[in-house]
Amino acid sequence: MARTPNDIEYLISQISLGDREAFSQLYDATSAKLLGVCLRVLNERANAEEAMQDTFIKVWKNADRYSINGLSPMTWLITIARNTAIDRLRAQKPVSDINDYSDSLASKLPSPESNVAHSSDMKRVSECLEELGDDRGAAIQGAYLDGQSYAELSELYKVPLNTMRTWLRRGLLSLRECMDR
Amino acid sequence: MSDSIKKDENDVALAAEYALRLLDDEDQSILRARVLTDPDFARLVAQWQESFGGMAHAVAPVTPLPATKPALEKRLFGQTPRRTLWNFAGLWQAVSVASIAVAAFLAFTLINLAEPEPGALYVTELASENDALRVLAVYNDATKELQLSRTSGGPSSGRSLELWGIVDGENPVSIGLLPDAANGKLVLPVNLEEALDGLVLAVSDEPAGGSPNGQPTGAVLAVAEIFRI
Repeated sequence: MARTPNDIEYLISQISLGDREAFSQLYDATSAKLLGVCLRVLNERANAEEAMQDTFIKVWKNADRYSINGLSPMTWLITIARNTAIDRLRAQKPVSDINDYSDSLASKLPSPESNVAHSSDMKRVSECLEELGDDRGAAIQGAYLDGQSYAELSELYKVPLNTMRTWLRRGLLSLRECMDR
Repeated sequence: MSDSIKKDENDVALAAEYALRLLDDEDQSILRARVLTDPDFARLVAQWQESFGGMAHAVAPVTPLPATKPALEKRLFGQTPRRTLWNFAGLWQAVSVASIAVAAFLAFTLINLAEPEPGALYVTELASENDALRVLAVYNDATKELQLSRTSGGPSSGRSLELWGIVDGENPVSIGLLPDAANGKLVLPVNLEEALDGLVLAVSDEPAGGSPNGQPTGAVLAVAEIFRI
């Protein structure tokens, strides 16, 4: 099960050539993580399993566009899973699109280093969220992991939407500043 | 990066809001258009996605239900991409002369013990790719019986192994379940009896009691052509 980012990247490149065995291996290596991400957003097992299936269908169909999107392989998979789950959560016509994270525009992303950055990002983001203080850190985490929108967060925190937005934006800028340090 | 933050904090925050999907649908689609047309903004979004992605590290993995993967593969590939009988065509053609010779030798041994006057003999060895399952099959034209001798492996718990006969270009015909005992006999269906030359035998993994629909439903473990000796 333990796969390095390079392994995952290799499997994605094989999948882009139509390799079903590579697809099967990618599923075995990553489905539990991606189901965890979907379940966190959807809070309902059957729904989450569906979202995870949809995620893998997008992966199969768009693997050829992975190499140009500038994201590390796990981030790419997790981003698709999260957005697919949020589409389902909001039960609306899908707003997210595979283009969001694989459009060729992003090929201009200068990201040889972004692949390397991922593992350190994992620790870094939690350190920086901690630094933000409990409320802001929790709100950003809620937005990412639970898929909450400003509307939902303002309800949850019982503040007007604009107040919520001003407050969270400040948190996001501090987070960026911390991540870039 | 720190330069562009100073230059446009608003864009940095917008990119984060977009990546998080905090905004309402309308704003979200306006920004989406921007991602597609503005490389700098697309870069900011990707950078945020990478940063936020680290949060998923804390999410506990949840193993999907076993049925999910076959369902997914069925959705994508139209059918569960188990090995079909025909994928094995190359495999049985590659069966080495040596193993045929061994099968033939064993066949004579078996037959000599059982039958003082054997008729025409047809023989093959069915072996799975990793040799976890090996079955010697000998058909005696005089007795119309197919003798089976399992030298390795067997059905997994709660499953049955089913033997099939395949005449070129036709659907597999069930010959029966492999006997529980290491040695046993099955009777060939008449239509297979008439097509012994070039007959292919196959063993598939099936639900207990055999395939519910008369065709192989599980993994095909071994395939081999039967030879007259």
